[in-house]
Amino acid sequence: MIEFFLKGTPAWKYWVILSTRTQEDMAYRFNYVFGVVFRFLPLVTTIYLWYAVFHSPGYDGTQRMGGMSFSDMVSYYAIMFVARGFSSIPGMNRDISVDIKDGLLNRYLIKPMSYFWYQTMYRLAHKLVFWFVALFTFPPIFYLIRQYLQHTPTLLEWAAFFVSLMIAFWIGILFNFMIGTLAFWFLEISTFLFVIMVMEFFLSGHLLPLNLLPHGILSWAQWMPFGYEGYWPCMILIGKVPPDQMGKVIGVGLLWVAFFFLTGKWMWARGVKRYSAVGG
Amino acid sequence: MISTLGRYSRMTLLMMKNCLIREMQFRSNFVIRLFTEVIWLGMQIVYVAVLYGVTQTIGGWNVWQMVMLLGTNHILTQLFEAFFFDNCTKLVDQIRLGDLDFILIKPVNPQFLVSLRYTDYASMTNSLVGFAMIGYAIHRLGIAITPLEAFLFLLLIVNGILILYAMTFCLSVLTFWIGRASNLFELYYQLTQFTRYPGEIYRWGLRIALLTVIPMLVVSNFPVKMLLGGLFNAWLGYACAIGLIFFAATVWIWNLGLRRYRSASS
Amino acid sequence: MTTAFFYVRSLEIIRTGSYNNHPMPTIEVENLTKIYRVTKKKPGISGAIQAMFKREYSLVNAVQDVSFKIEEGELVGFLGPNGAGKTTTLKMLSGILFPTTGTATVLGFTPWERKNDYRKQFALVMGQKNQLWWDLPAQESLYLNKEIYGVSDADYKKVLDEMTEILQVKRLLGVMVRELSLGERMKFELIASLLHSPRVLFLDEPTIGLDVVAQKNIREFIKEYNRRTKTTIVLTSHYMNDIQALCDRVIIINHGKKFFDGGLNDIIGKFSASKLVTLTFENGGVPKEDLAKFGEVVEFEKLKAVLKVNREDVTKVSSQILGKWPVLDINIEEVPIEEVIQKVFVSAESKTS
Repeated sequence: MIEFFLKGTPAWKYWVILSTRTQEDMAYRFNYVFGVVFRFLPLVTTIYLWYAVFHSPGYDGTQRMGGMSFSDMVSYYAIMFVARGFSSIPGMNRDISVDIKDGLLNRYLIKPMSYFWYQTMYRLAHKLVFWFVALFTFPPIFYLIRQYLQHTPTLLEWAAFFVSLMIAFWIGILFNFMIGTLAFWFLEISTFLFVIMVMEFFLSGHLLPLNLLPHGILSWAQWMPFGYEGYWPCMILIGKVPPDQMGKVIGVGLLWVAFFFLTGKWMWARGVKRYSAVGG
Repeated sequence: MISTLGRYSRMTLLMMKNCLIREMQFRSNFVIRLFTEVIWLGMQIVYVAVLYGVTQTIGGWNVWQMVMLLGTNHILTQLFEAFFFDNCTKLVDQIRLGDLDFILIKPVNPQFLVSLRYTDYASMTNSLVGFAMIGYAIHRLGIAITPLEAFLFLLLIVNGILILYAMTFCLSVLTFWIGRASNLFELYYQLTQFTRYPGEIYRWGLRIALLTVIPMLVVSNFPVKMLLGGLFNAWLGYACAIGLIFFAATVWIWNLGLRRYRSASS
Repeated sequence: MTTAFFYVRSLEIIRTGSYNNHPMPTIEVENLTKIYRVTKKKPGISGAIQAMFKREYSLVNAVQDVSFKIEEGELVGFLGPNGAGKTTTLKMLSGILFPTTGTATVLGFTPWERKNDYRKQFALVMGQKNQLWWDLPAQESLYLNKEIYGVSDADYKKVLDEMTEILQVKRLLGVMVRELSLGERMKFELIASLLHSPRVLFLDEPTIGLDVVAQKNIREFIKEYNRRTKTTIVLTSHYMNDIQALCDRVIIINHGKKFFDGGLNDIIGKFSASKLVTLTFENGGVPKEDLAKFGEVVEFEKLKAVLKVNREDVTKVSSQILGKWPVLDINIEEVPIEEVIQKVFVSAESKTS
């Protein structure tokens, strides 16, 4: 039915890419179930670990660490799954760099199609299947840990949360695209990509809430784009962002999106020119 | 029996030598691998540092005991990755693509060939960092280690590696039934979470599971406990029994899987 | 091939007892069958969602009721198009696959029991598939094989020296496998599998992808090896040249079934109903329609024509033509064997459909 609407429009080719990739993923159904179910295992360790911390000798579970209560901590890590489900685009920058390095771009450049949108659709397909399955698996998990989720977000917080998730996704895509284009200029960037990945992992707050870091680091780290890939969506939804700060937080996020969009576009244009000049 | 052991040892050494020759052609890769592994370890250390910044004990373990656990965990995962992990991931592709033919026609146990073919020297070298960490922590704790304890520690390390091998190998072998299984290795990473922290933080139900069905605590906690004050003989025997049972499971499931082997189409 | 080779081979013979200690054939196959289950999927996203919940299967008969016997020292060819079942059969005889039904015995062993004693006595070489380590000199892979098969140092040195000499790859021993040409790689693959002087050698498309010279070298080597060591060799190929050059006996397999088992020349006699008569005329030639009365005109030029004539009628037709027209030259030959085999396959298809 979708064919009926889209065929003949320029978007049709992107739909085909989307659906083909989605089918590919679905073909390995066990793979999928495994991936989704076991994704939450770290949450178990996290909850027990922080419980042990909050209840270690001298504490009774009501103290706050770095401004976070035990409930805040668990909520943070749980919501991080959702946030990272939007911002984590594994393999994108590597695939792009490989396409460039190995001269494989040619088959994309000769087609009447934007390489950026091709990559984005490709990743979006993967995300869509992920979220389709997540619709069935996330709610039960959240229900199981509901006793720890003590903050009820306000309407503003819900709205800001959804916006921040969109920001997280676009920063993920645009940043990784931009990094991938570096391959136009640098031959061997796999180590660099690794360092970037580590930075992204750490500064997104995936490992630790950023506000547990020493104040000196936190003051600049929280405004880095990586913070929007996990830290900010979580903090918004657990109520750590006062309404008067909300505008500033979202605003900076949108600025980063715009920045990566423009920079990426510019780098791509320069890179393709250079690539074609060299002969690919 | 002895000659078979000798033969298999010689073959293992030959395959390790082959991998070394190959590795030496890619020296920069080796250095990069060392670098990346150290970074990951660094992250874990940062995590523990932050945790112990807010509290003195976790599950009854103080910071240096935790460092010993971290170091032990590092040794376990690095040595496991050195000898077995690559082989398990490659096995998945070999099964899927039907590339086991040449292995099946050799007059050698195929599980042996498939499990030890590749050795990763970067991980092997990296495991030394773990030993260093343990050494330093012991120094800071000021405890004395007897030679017997050290020997049994190493025995339990080997036992732990064997259990990790069994788990991952069984996951790889599942490919015979379920095709592409890249997410199975995700499972390996998730389950090894449980080796990183003291068993005392878990409630009894989970703790029992982690001592029996998914014996992650046997893998990492037991060796450290051996150094910290000896482990009751019963537990020691239990640990070895678990190791052997898990290993036997790999042999069983491997042979079951081979019956389903498809081989690449001609 | 020198006496050193024979020396190694005779060691093997002494070890196993005698030259012909098997009263039964070296390879005996009875009603071997292999059926595969293949998943089917409907196209499109809805099909993909359906497939997540319920899988549909269809059955593929890779090998159906194949039976044959091969004696020691024979060089037999399996001929058939791609997907015919030749390689599947070979893989069952190598113990790589389990049959669905049927039995097979090689050197007295059931291959799929994968006994080490059996595996020490046979070898498998597959065209375009490497068992050599890619990033290592060929030598290292060979040495590993030596250890795996338990070949003694003395035997190893002798066999290695001989074979690298004959195949002219001695200088390449230290070269990385990934830097060798396809032909050179194939030669090393052969050497790697013959280090342990197997009694049975299975070759699956050994010359595929090789250039003409390399193909010829490999063929000559195989033929000579078989002649000297009396190793039983089973070769699969879809190249007629391989079969013609090497095999006196051919087993034709198509769609998993055995269609023919016998001498190469018998194929022509059994399956070819006609012969080709090439005529060269002088001054003027002959009109096409007149020639067409005697047989199918395959080629026609002013002074030359090729006719396809029924076997039984060849002599009669030839004498008639010779009597009727000024023939400068007449040549009678068989229809090319490829064409014959093609026809066998086509007729087989029509039988099964």
